Amino acid sequence: LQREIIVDTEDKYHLDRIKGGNKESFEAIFIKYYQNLCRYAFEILRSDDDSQDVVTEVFTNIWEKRGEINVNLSVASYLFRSVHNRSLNVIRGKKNKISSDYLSNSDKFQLVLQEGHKDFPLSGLIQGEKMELIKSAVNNLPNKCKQIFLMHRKFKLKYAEIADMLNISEHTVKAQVQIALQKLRAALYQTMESDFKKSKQKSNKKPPAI
Amino acid sequence: MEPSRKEELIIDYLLGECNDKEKTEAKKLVDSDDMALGMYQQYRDIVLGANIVYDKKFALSKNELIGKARSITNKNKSVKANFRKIWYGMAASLLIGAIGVLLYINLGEKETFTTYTVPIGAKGQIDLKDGTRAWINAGSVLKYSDFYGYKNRIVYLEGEGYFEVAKNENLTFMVKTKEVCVKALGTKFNVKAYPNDASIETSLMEGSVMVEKSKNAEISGLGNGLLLEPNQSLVIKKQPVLHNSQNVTFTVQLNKLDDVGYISSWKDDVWSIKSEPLDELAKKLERRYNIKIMFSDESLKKIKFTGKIKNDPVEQVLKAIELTAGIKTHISHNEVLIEKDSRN
Repeated sequence: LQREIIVDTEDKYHLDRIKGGNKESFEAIFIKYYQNLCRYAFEILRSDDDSQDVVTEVFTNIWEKRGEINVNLSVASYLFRSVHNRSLNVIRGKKNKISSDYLSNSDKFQLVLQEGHKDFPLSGLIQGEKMELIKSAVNNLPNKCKQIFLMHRKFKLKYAEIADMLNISEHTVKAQVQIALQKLRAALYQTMESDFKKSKQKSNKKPPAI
Repeated sequence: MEPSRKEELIIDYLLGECNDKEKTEAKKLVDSDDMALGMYQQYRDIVLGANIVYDKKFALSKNELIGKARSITNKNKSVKANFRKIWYGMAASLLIGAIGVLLYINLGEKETFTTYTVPIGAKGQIDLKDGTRAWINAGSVLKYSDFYGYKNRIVYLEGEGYFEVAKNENLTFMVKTKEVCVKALGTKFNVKAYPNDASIETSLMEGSVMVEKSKNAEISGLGNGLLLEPNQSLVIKKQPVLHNSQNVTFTVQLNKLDDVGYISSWKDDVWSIKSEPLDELAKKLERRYNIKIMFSDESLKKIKFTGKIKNDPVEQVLKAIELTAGIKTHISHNEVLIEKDSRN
């Protein structure tokens, strides 16, 4: 699976300037990612305060050690990976309270859908009933599959970035996203072409386990 | 092609995970194969539907976010400033006997810079010390030293700006960008030099300006500099576009226009567009409204658009473009998909 490396030039540009101590660029990256990183941390920690603490720690670390930051793939996957790892450390610290196997908890990674946003009234493209179907289909996905799908659609990370963040292969990420979309399509459009379905079963190998 | 491969390709395409070769392949497939088209439409609904993920949790205003960011950067600042003060103090006390006077001058002359950043989705206007007025477009940065106005009149620009330069024959006003340096004495002109745009454009409204290449840019077409006349626009095309790539080649093109006034109309309430290809316009809209624009079809990018755009919400602007350019737009949160209008 040959892929180009994703480089968000704007992010990399800001990162270079952050390394030189530029505060405007630090603010730009902070504004762009802070809220979504908190939302991601919340998926794991289920606590507003803990989530914000973790994200603030990650950004403080970036600013204080700005000379040493080494971003291989993208700023986004670096940030989400840092938040992911720190959140897991917090959970490990509270072992008695919460199970460290956080992904087995079915409350995690709930899809939040909203029909349009007050600033973008036209965004309610998918009407009520269809929306409910998508919502319940997403929430019925296996947990790892749901997590990866939401990383892509909710937090807008690319296959390669999710792979980098969760330390799994890009092939696995792609397979999980494809499975998620196929399940959603099956849930939404029961009239799937039958011959298409048959040929697919023949050709499609079992998805890799993760 | 295997049906499962078709499905994979369509999904990757809709999710923006295709390289250029795969994109072409996907478009060809959707155009030529009815089953693929049906599949494409169903997946598009799902991808757009699952895109409308708007989480209200942790919603903060921009000012609150800036405040949080600054509480991190300011913590560090005081430490650094103290360190510098101590260092200067030590250096001064050691050297004061020998080269005291020289050191005094060096410390006194320390140049500091003011940076004026205009975020995406905004516009800015700034009056400089010498009476020069500058309008700065979305996603741009203007920087100048505290020597500005008496030792030099140099501003550093990344992005787009319109300048009405106050007359001062003794001190040349200069806009320095990565690629070019525009020199003026007292004129009105517009410079567009975004790092990720395909060209650097200088347009002159009044007076005269000299466009020279920057120190590190190899733009042979500029020679020792080109003098622009009013209503001329100098377009320097970059190849490749990525701003940090090396071995960039530049093509220089001098255009004579009937009236360049519309070029700087982004700063006004009514923004005029003249036969602008849709992909170029899309870049400007992305910066003006802080949105992402995608095209379902490459051919749409070359449709030319002429018209006037008021300071309207993005939906109304897109509707206006839909009507005049014969296209369809779908908005989902801050992403816009531009498609062919099937009724045409």
